[in-house]
Amino acid sequence: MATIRTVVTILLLASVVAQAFAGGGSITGRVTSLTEGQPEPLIGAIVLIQGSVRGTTTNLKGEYKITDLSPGRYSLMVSMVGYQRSNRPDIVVEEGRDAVANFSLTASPVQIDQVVVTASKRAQSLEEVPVSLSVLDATEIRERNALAIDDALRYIPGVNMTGFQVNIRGSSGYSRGAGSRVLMLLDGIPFISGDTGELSYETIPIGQVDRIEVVKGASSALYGSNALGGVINVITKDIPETPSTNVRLYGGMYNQPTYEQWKWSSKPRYFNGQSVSHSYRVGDLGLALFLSRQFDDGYRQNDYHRRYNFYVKVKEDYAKNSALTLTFGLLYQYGGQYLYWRSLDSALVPPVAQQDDNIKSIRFFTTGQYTTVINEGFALTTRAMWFHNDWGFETRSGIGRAESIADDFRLESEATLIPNDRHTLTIGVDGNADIIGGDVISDRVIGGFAAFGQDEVRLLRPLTLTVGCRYDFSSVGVTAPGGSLNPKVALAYTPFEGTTARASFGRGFRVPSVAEAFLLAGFSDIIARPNADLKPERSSSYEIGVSQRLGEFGTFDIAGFRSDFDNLIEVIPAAEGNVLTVQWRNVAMARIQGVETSLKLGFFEGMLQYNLGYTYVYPEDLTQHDILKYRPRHLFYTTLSGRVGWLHASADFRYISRVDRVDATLGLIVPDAEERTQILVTDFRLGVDFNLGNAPFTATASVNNALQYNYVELMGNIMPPRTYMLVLEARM
Amino acid sequence: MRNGSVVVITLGLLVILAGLIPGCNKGLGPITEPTGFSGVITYKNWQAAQVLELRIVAFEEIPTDSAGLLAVALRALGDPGGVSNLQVALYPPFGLPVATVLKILGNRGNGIADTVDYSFLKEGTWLKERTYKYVIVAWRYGPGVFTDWRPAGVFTSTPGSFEPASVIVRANRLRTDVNISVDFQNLPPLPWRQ
Repeated sequence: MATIRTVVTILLLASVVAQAFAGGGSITGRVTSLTEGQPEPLIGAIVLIQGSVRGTTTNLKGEYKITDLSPGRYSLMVSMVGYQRSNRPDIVVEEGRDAVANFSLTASPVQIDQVVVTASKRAQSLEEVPVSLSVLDATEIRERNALAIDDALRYIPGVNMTGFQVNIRGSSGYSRGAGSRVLMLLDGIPFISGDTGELSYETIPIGQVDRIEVVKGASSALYGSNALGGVINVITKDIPETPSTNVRLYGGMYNQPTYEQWKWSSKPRYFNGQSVSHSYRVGDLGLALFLSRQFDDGYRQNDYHRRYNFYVKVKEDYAKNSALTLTFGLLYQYGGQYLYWRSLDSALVPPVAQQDDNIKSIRFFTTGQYTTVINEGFALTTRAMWFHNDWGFETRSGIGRAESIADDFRLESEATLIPNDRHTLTIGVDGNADIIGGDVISDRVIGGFAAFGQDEVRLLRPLTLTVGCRYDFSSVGVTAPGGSLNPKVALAYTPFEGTTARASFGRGFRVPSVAEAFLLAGFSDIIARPNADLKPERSSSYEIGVSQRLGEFGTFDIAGFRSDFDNLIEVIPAAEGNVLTVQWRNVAMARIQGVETSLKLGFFEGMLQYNLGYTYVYPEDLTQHDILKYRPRHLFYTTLSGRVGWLHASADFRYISRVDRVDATLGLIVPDAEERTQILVTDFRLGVDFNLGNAPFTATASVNNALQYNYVELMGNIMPPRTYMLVLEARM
Repeated sequence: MRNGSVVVITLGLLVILAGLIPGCNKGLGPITEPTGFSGVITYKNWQAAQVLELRIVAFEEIPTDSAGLLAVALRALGDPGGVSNLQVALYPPFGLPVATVLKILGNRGNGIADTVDYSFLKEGTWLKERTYKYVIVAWRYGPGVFTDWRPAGVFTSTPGSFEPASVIVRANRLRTDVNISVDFQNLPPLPWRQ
């Protein structure tokens, strides 16, 4: 209660201070596209005052206004997807007057100048970021018809999935869904379940995602625990100026299995889904609603699911430079629980004893974010979240029904200060508490708090040094509560327009999840053994890289990286009679090094685009002098897409090399556990845009895994065969 | 511009087509193999005069007394059907002349370390699809066909030790790394207390 009172007091004080600073002059103007005919207003363009915390977006008429500016000279940067960034220096603001700055943006064949927020907890150009960062925008997510966040992540260079576990540049292997070496954020706040420490992708309504930013490498200096291998920030859509309704329908079917002996159902296996979203504004108040339903028969026996998502977002802009955003999201899903195949000869059916296993989840979250800009050099953001997880599984042949309930509460406050042209400071505090109960993990309450600070110092005009540090205290039920200090240092050097060299060092750590330390239950014939002696994992990451703009036609990026891990937690399986026991232990020192390149090319004003990403990873277990388990060494992703008028088509190809090592001991339980291959997946899509009445529609047909290549990401789990899908989307 | 777009289209198509070629094979598929396990037996310090008979014996449970070791197998001489009930399988199977058995597993050596390949398959034996916790090379060193037996080598996953490792026999799978070392001057301990 005292904490809530303190936060409310801070917010009120901030508002008062903001009002006190009101006054001064303004910058206003219009942003249009630079075309041969009539200039078109650009809606939603980002307008930032460089060297300050102030910014806004353009309205329906392409207009913007930034008020309450102190008299002086300002530089503006305007950015929008599909257009080249534009800068305007030396805009003079006088007391009580509007300075006018209009912009005409040139269409860009490929997106070069994205604005990102994850690298430094503030909006900045991607070209200024001193670490490797990839962005997947809503268009790419929509065109691929990704049904959950993990589907979308499979196309980001340096990222691959092992089942539901995400791996950035080899940082993660597979830990049975407990714990994650990648931190996922929802609009900047950690979104990890309090009990298992896993990433709950399906809880986030993917239809409301604006973009996904992926920071590669240890980021604990800003984000704390779990940011050992990187950070995934899922950023939801803002509420547009005008009422907007979106209806999306999809349906499809799985192809028959490749081999006669894999066929297990005489009926075709279908999937379908529907979603509707609506958003509107009344004055300063905006509201967005989203509802979706997904049904999937599953291509494997007892692998069906039914999923329902509800999401609402309310945003109130008030006190001129302040905004309060509230969200609520709900997921209800149930389905069969498919752990692994009966054997490679019966690859699409589970063992007989698991044929009726099922799982049910009810998860919801509510968040609040208050942002206030006190003046052009000082912004304050406070975020809070309550994430409730209730999931349970039922095994007919094992231990019956087991349930886990976790409530995760988070509160954080951060400030961005720009005292002068040379420094940009980011400081903040945060805290979290998890209340865990149920049958899977014994009842317990855990938590922690942290303080962090970072300074971006402009040493010379083209050289920026970033130094930062974060201290975390965690009471997680490891043997003793403990603290962790994680520094970072980074350099970004831009000798020429379009060329940026970067170098960075950062420390990472991960407190073991409660499940890793205290999991009691098991699935079917796999039983977990608790280990209260687990210690936090630690890492040090180093990276050097260069990004080069290739004229107006694209970008090229290359980076070399290395991460050293200590106290790495691995699952240690052991056979006990007819069951397999697993226990998480600190066992390994590891070193992961490699190189990553990416190329983006675009021609004909973006009508033809080509993306390519290649990552080589050498993941070395220094304890056993062997390759780390579950890490592929080569990732190669490429996409070719084209658009001519109302017709658009694209093709994806993914190659992931065969994983060198898996848990051999699991072979005692999982038949043919060692059977795996390289991954070669090709997807094709063809779409048309058309109008019915005044409403624009898009219809897309896609064939995923077009060559029906049979592969596993996780042992004993064949991935989907060729899949046909039709998507119809209307925007009103 | 035109040259650039041609390069992009060509590059993109080439890369994707390059992926299609290996992708035309179907990846993973059902395995058609015999059921059983195989490997190599390595002999050291062969004592030709004392090696009267050798067999690979796979036990579902580690025998707890001498009667549980080779007596169970040898009882099968008079009760072949009983072997399947006693949760043990033998290779070469019974029914073959002892000289032939010895030739299959041990007709090498003359005191020199040597190796013998073997394949213990379900077909023609009492091997079943289950887990065998104790797989040994059994040695008959004397004339007592019911009594003069002892383990000469044990399958282990820890080289240099005699810690037994399990062998899982799965349908249509041939495990090929069940290698056993036999050193007639360094024999494994009996699995029970004498």
